[in-house]
Order: sequence, then C-alpha cells, then structure tokens
Amino acid sequence: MPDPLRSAATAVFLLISLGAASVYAANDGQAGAPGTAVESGATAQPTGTTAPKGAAGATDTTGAKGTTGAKGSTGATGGTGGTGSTSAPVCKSTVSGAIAYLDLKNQKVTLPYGTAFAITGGTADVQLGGRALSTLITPQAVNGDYGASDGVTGAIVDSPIGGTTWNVNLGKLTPDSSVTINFHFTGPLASSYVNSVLSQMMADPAFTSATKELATVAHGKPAADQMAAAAVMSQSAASVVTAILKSNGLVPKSPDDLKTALGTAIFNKIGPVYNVNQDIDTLQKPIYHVADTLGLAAADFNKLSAQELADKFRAKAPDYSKVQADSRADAQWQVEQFLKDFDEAAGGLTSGLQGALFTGSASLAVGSDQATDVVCDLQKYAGFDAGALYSFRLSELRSFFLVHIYFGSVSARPGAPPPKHTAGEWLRQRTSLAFGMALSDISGSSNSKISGQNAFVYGLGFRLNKYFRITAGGLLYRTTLPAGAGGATSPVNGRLRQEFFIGPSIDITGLSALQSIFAKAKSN
Amino acid sequence: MIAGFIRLQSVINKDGTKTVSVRATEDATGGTETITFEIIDQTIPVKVTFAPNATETVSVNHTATGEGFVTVTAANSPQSIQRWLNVNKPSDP
Repeated sequence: MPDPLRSAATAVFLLISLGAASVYAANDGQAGAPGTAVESGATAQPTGTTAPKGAAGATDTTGAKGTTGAKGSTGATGGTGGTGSTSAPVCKSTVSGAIAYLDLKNQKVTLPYGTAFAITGGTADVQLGGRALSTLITPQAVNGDYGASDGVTGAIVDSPIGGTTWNVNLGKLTPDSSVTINFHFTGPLASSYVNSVLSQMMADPAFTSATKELATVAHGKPAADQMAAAAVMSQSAASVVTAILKSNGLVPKSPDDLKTALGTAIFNKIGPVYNVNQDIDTLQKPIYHVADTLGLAAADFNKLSAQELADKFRAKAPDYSKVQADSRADAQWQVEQFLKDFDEAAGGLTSGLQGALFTGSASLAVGSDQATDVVCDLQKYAGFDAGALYSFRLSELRSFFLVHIYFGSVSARPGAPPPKHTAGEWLRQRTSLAFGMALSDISGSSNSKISGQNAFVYGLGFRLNKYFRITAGGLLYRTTLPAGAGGATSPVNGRLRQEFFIGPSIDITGLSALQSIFAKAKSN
Repeated sequence: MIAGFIRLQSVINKDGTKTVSVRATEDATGGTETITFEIIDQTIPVKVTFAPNATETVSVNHTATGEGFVTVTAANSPQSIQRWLNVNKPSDP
C-alpha cells in the first residue's frame, strides 16, 4: 500500500519543481476518472491542468498595474516579470545605518516603519529654488518636522552642522504611509550669494519703482529732505531684498531685526546703491561704444545684470580702443565708477546681512497619496486565508482555511518596494507554503466521499495582490465510499486518500485592522 | 543738440571751492547749448558752444552741501545724467 505521507511529499515536490502543478491523481489501480475517488499514494498522472500557470498570468497583470509602476519608477514588479531595475525604490528594511537624503529624494528607498531612524546628507545635496543650499547660506544647524498620511507628526530636533554633512533623527512611522518631511537649515548668507542678491535687487521692479519715487520726491529739495526720502527708499529696498531671499527659500530668523539692519545698511550706502543703475544706464548709451570694449553686441550688453556686467569687466580687460579717442578716458572712468559703486553697494548689503541668520527650508514631500508611499510596507511572515477550493475528482467545492507561511518576511502588498530587485525576490514576495483544513462542501454535493467532511490541505499559494491569492495543492482525507452491491463495503473505506485542488482565497490578515498579525513590529 | 553725458563727478578744488563737472558730447549739428546743473537744491544753467561731434568738459562751481541728487540736463535734448553724490567729497573712482 502506498504511503500517504510519501505521496504528499511527492506532490509538493512536483508543485514546486514544475512551477505549474500537475494534477496529482492518486491511483491504486483505478482509472481515476473525474469524480472518482482514488486512493492516496498511487502514481501521479499529469493531466495537463494549467491552473498554476493561470495564476502566474494573473499575477503578471497585477504587476503591470502595480504601485511601483504607478510611481513612475521603472517598475520592479511590472511587465518585466519582476526583474526590475536597480533604480527602483527598495524597502530600507534590510539596510542598516542612516538613510541617504539623496536616495530618499530620488525615491531609491522607502523609509523604515516602527523604529526611529536617521537621515543624512550633504549640504550641497539640498536644493532651494534650484540652487544648492551651500551656495545660499553656510548651514550651521538643521531641524524640521514631518507629517504622515495617517496623522503621525513629529519634530526634528535641532542638529548642529559642523562641516558639509548633516544628520537628523526621525521617530517611528507607520507602514505603507506617505510622509512629508520639512528640513530647516539655519546659517548666515554665503558671501558669494550677496552679490547675486544685490544684482537681483537692482533689477527688481519694486526697487526701480522705489528709486524713481525717490528721485521724484527728493529732486531739488535740500539735502536733509533728500536724506529723509532716501531713508524711506532704503526701507523699500530692504523689503525687496527680503522678498528676494524668500524667493530663494530663505527667511530671516528675525524679520524685524533684519529689516532694521538692512534698511540702515542700504541707507548708509544710498549713493552707490542708487548710482549702480545710473552707471549702467550711461554705459549702455550707444554713443560711448562700451559694449564694443567687451566685444559684445549692444543688445547682448544691455541684457546683462549688474553682477554679470561687473563679472564681464573683471574677467576681461575692456578694449577701450573701440571707443572714440576723445571719449576713451570718460568711458574708462565710467566703467571704473560702476565697479566701485557695485562693490560699495554689495559691501553695504553684506554689512546689513552680516550676523543675520537665515533659515532655508527644503520640503521633501514624497508621497502625496497612498500610492506613492515612502514608508516600507508592513513586513509579514505569514497570512491567514479563507476561501473555496475545487477538487476535480471529487467534483466538490469546499470552504477552507489556510495558514500561509512565506519564505522570509514579505511586504503586505506584493507590489510594494522590496528589499532588493531580483526575479527571485519578485517570486519570493508572492509565494507561500500553505497548510490548513478544508471544511464542509459548499457546492451542494449530497454524497461526499470525505469522511466527517473535514480534510487536511497543503500546497503553494501565489498572491495576486494584497488580499487575494490562488492556492493549489493536495487535499488529504479519509474516505467513506457508498456500499456496493449487496451492501458490501468498499475495501478502501477508511483509508487516507488525496486529491489535487485549486482555489482562490482572501488573506484575512490583509485587512487593515488585522494586518499586523503575523507581521514584523518594525521593518529593521 | 547734446548727444550724451558721461562722467558726472564732484570735485573739491585746492582753494576749497566745490565744482561739479560732466563730459558732454555734441551731435553733428554743433552750436551753443544750454546745460543745466541741479546740485541738490541749487540750479545752475550754463551756456556752452560745441563744435560738431565734440566732447567737452562742462563744470560749474556751487555752494551746495551734503548728499543728494545731482542732475545735468540739456535744453532741446532728451539726454540727461543723474547721480547721488556727496558734494562735500570728491567722487573719483
């Protein structure tokens, strides 16, 4: 008599090795026609059933519309069959140490859940308004806050920045949530940036308007009145500078103090501040051919900002031979006057900004919805399923409960970023060993061959998505066959028998209220 | 007609008198031009005769003090030049 356990093991082996399970028809000499019970432990006969292949096909569909694909990444679980791309995000659960800011920003990783963690980056990595933070300020400290889609919020405590790298600590996040992290970098303005601010101020319509207003109001008045008007204009200029800084993502830690300091500094340099644009206006007059001294067309010359113009004159000595002889010295004087005014204005601005601390805020709003989560999906070891199985030979549809044990921890959603992108990982995220019980018949069979209605089931599960799974395997039961002619009892009555089954099921632990069952408390 | 002004500057002379000067360029017509200096709160017009296309230094003495606008304009010409100057100091670059 064949050993039932041995045949069961053989069936599992075949299910795994073929990838598509063959129908396992136990045969103890009977034909094993559909609907006929056969004894466990007989010869296996592939019948060409392609149920597991069908399941795989269904999974491809799931992968194609997977969350990862929706993120715009290269689709680790998409139609590539799970081979994925190394640029696709990975769950940080298997990587130790701090998370790199650039990896997070470029969606190469997702954040761990259930545990505090750190984010580290370089000051040159952070961009504010398209410019590297390090070109705007010299960061001295970083802090911030964060908020997750599930309502979790937290503060990032102040962390000093000694060099060019920074590090912050975040608290616990919940799985499968999206997070917006706001980083606030504080420090004085970078000296190289002040000239850029001055140049922007000179070209700002509000500044131009303020200077015209000054000229209109003060022109022809006594010096004292003109100085009073200049003080008002300086405050306007200070507001323009503050707005420029803000447009670059920088806000003063103390706006009132900065406005006062800046207003005073600009007022002290009102001559150069006002004269820079007047100098440029004179230099642009075609009669003096100053554009020619730089080898530029007048149209191109006139487009240059104050800083660009200063840079041009300093980068290359102007060729004053291009200017008419009797105006040559005048053109040179005017160029030198412009450079002097520009430097003095910049010096005034620097003194006004000196000592003032600015905060540059960079918001990392990764994950505007649940589909673009940045926190790792829940990592689970097992699931508990309920579903219906179909047994061909018994011609029965039976309810069943299964415990699915994964080959290591997997994401709650098969499409979530895995720890790594490989074909094997793609398969591992979806397959599970299944054990459980088949219960009563739900197809209305009046003459079940299963003694006591209950049977042990085992097999392999394949997840289609977070909730649904196809399971195929063997159903072991003790049989009760109807009495033969003359009331003779079948000799196989009471023996263990086996049938192949396939059926869909729902992962009950995929439901949000129950999803932490069989799962990791934290992702790393 | 005046075709352009350049190099508007304040000068303190050795004897302590204060001067504002500008370089003015005449166009091809030539002739006498009326050039007006507004030095803070003082207005000083001067007449200067230019040869065609000539560039001349035009200067005036003044008694204005302190900081403020110095503007030079020419009659019958859209050209002007203006700077904020401290006329108590020379304004060499």
